[in-house]
Order: sequence, then structure tokens, then C-alpha cells
Amino acid sequence: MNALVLGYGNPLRGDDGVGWVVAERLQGMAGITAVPLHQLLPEHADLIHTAVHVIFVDAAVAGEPGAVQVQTLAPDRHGLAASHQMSPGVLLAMAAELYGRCPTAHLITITGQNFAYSETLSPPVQESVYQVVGFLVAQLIGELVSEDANGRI
Amino acid sequence: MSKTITIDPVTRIEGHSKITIQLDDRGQVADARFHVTQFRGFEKMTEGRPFYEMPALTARICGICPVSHLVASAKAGDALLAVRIPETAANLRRIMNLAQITQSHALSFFHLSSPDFVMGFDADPAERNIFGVMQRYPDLAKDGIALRKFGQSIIELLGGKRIHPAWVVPGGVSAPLSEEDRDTILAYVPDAKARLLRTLDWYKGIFGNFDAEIRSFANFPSLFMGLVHRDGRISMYGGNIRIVDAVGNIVADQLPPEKYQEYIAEAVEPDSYLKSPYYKPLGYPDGIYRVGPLARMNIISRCGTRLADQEWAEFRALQRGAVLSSYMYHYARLVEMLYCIERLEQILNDPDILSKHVRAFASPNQLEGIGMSEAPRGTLLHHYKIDENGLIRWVNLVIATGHNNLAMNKGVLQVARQFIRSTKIEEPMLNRVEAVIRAFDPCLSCSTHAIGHMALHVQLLASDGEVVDEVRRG
Repeated sequence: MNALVLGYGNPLRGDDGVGWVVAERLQGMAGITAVPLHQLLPEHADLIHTAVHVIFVDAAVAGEPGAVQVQTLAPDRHGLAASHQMSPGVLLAMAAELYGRCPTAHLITITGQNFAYSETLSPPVQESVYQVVGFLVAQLIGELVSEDANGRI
Repeated sequence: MSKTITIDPVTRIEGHSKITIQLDDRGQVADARFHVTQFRGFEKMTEGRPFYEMPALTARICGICPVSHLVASAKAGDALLAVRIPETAANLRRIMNLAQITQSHALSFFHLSSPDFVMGFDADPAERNIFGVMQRYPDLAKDGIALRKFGQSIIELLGGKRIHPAWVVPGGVSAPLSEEDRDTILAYVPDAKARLLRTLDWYKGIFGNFDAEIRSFANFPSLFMGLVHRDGRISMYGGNIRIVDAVGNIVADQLPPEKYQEYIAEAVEPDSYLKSPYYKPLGYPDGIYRVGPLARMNIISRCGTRLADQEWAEFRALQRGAVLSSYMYHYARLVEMLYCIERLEQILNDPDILSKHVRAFASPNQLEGIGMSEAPRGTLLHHYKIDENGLIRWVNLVIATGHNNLAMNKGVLQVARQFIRSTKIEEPMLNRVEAVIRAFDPCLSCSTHAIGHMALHVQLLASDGEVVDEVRRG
């Protein structure tokens, strides 16, 4: 597997589902395996270790609605490891320790505006979905993800 | 001076349960209570909705075991339609339920509880977590992940997605199984079976190392309840209720699920949103019973699959009569996972599983319907009343964790009495109080599923309310 995109959140809680929407938009594109998820689970470590790059996409609370942040991730043994909610860093650590391989990894967050019951995204978040999808298509299909991709889009 | 130790919350994510331990004037444990302080309200919020929405709505109760609610709800819907669903549909539901039980048990055993077995209950909490397991027994950790994936993949193949599939509906299922998907699932089976047998061998070699926990983790006489076939085989999907006592005698057998109110009543305690069901003929609280893997192993006459029957016989030989220690829930989960894998393989090898007739269509023909099935944690019941337009008027949900409420309370008290040595709050006591609850794998909207250590707030209070000692973690 070349690139794995794990977009997670609750699509019934407005902008919390933005990761889910991004992953859905990327499904079926050559070179990308995109998986919309409610939450990160232990078995995703098995999926992660087979990828060259892994991109986590999640909603954020802090910042201006629609703001997009990209950060490089590293394995983190001390992150959140509850049964039905694991942090990306913990999954990367599990992939590294169990399967001996941890792909390069980035977390993309999009700041949400509305987290109430809703199946639609707010306008600024919807706008950011277009940017993020375009960015990921350019980066992943072109295999341009690099270790220094931190920052804003 | 009497004191109260409060563990609040027990859970990490939603934090909706707590434990209080009351000490007497001599510092001895006088009482202990497990309180569930969250309120979900599904029984009320679904009133007025069309009954056919109930499987999809009630599946939202739980992100870990949505299939269990789908199955029980769809069965209640079948009763409202007053139809006998096609046998292939019932078998497809069975497969999904067996896959669900497998993945849920895998999460409980490998990810939540194995750190205690591998590192020991007294180990440093910084080491007693899934990474500790991965370092000592990497194959065990991989087996846990693989068995989770096995169950989840089957659910996804059948239902189209892993969480909240909408495939199980009143009247049957919405789509038949393709030959390709049948073969895909069957191809997963040998690997899953091998991993489970390896885990059983390992666990049987180490579980005896925890004598103190076996003796004190909710180890007391009680009734046990669950569904069985007419010949006494385990039944995860249908059948009737059997109740056995602490020495293994059958107290009641073949009780129809739809008459549950004749033999089960529900008590309500002022300090918990979790109801406390009890066996009606013995009254409250003497009618305490347990459900789930341990109960199922105690009530059945056999599993009905070759390897699981061998393991079941070994399990039952642990104790004359019923196996009473709730510590043995862990062992029982492994035997059940083996049964689930063997049973779904049996069903898939029946050519009728590919039949295209998987749904009975009808309008509501009854105004009241009850559905019961076995969920990972025990017997699950959905009871609906509707109006002439098919809209829900009244709902009662009796979930497995509720059945075990009285036993969990008693278990917390037993562990507290065994391990509280002073009025000082110490880590080994905290871990064991969590672990006795974890043995039941309660589902307080999934919130008690926490790896490593849960978020805890423990206060030791003097009788005048003064905080004598306090510990926070998580």
C-alpha cells in the first residue's frame, strides 16, 4: 500500500465528521487507500504498518473555523490508548513495535465551527475540505510527502 | 470514625460511573457500591419513532457492540410483524452476532485485561499496559489484533461497514450473502482458530498464578442465566432461558423470552442509573444472578462444536457445580471465541446460506414485540409497544451489564475487603477494584473499556466530609 488516509470523526455531529468526509472524497483514487472511521482502533496498527505514508485527518476545536494544520507524527507510547479511542501516535508505536515498521505519518486537522447534531459541514470547513483533498491528491499521488511538511496549507 | 473512599470516575472517556467504599470505625470495609451515573435515555427518546427505525437507532447505544442491539431490536421487530423470518436470514444474523462476540471478546481479553495477566496486578502502572504486553508477548498482542480484525471484517463484509451496519432489519436481513464473500470469510477461519488455540494454551498455563484474584474477584454463590437450545446447547441468537444455581442445578429451563416479566424484575437504586434486575421468585436482592461468558459456560449442557466442547469440559472441571469466580470470565471468553469461530464456519458450510430469500415483508400485526439474544456481555432484551401506525409508544431495554449489576456491586465489596489493608489508598487496591469490574467487561455505553489504567479520582473522606486522602490519575 502506498498511501493510507484515515479520516475519523462522527459524521452525525457536524464538523466533527470532517475527517470522514475527506476520506470519502479520496476513496477510489489510484495509489491511495482512504478509510473513513468513527474512531481509531487497535487493529488499525495492522493496516498502518503496510503503508508507505499514513495521513490522519481529524477535526480540531481550537483556532479559526476552517483553519488547517499539518504536523508530522512520531510513535508515542504514552498517548491515549482507550479501548475505542486511540491516538495516532499510539497506533504508530504499535505498528513499529509489533510489526517492525512505522510509515512516515502526518496529522491534518481542520478546525470545526459546529459540533451540534448535523450531517452537514459548516461553510468554512467545507471550503477547507476542498483544499485538503486537493493537497492530499497532489502530495500523495505525486509521492511528495516529506518529513518537513509541517505547517499550514 | 467511619470513612468513605470514593473512586470517581471509574471510566476514562465518559466518566459516568464511580465506586464508593465505606469503612467502619475500625477501618474495615463495611460496604461498597458501584454507581453508574450516566443517563442515555434511549428508552424515552425513541418514543414516537417508527418501529422499523429501532435497529438503526438502538445500535447507536454502543460503538463496540452495535450488532448486539441490531439483532435484539430486529427480533423485537420480527415479533411486531408476527412473521417467521427465512432460516437463511436467521443464520446470517447468527454469523454477524458470532463475529461481533469474537471481536468484542478479543478487545476485552487482549487489549483491556491481558496487561494484568502478563505484568501482574501489582506491576507499575507505567508498564502495565498494551505496550508491556507487546514487549513480553508480541505474538499474543498480534493475535489480539488479528482476532479483532477477523470479527470486524466479517461484520463489514455482511453489513457493508464495521460500525452501525444497517443490514439487519425487522423481517430478516436486507441483502443475501454472495458466494465470494462466503468464501472470503471461510478463508479467514483457519488462521483465527489457530490464534485462539494458541492463546488458550498460553492462558491455561498462567491463569493459576492469580490465586488471590480467583478467590476474591466476585467469587460467591449466585444464579446464572442465559439462552440455550432445547437440548441445552449454547445459543447466542435464539432459544429459551435457562437458570442454574451455584451448584449447577437447573432452577428453571426453557423459559420463553417473551414472558421475561414473569421471572425477571428490575429494581432501581437511588444512586445509580443502571437498573438491577433479579430473579423474581427469589426476590430482591436474593435473586442475584450473573449473565455473560461465565454464566453461559455454567448453564449449558455442551457447546455443540468439537474444539469448544473439549475446552468447555476442561473449563467446567475447574470446580464441582458451577464455576463461581468472576475472574473466570476471562477464560470463558476464550472458550466462547473458539465456539463462535467454529459455529460460524459450520453455518457458512451449509449451502443454504447463499439463498436469496432473506427477508419476510409484512406490516405490523402485533402491538407488542420482544426480542432477546446473547450479546458479548450477556443476555440482551428489547421490548417495544407500538400504536396502530407502527410508532413506538413504550420501550424497555434490559442490557447485559444491568443483569450483572448486583454481582458487580458484590464483587467490588469482596475485592475491597480482600485488598484494602489500611485507610491509605494504594495502587494495588485501585487496580484490583477496576479489574473486578473489568472482568465483567461492563458496557456503560462502552466507557469502561479502557486500556492500561482508567482515569480515577479517589477520595478518602472522614464522616464529617473532610478529605483524609485523595488520589487522581489518568
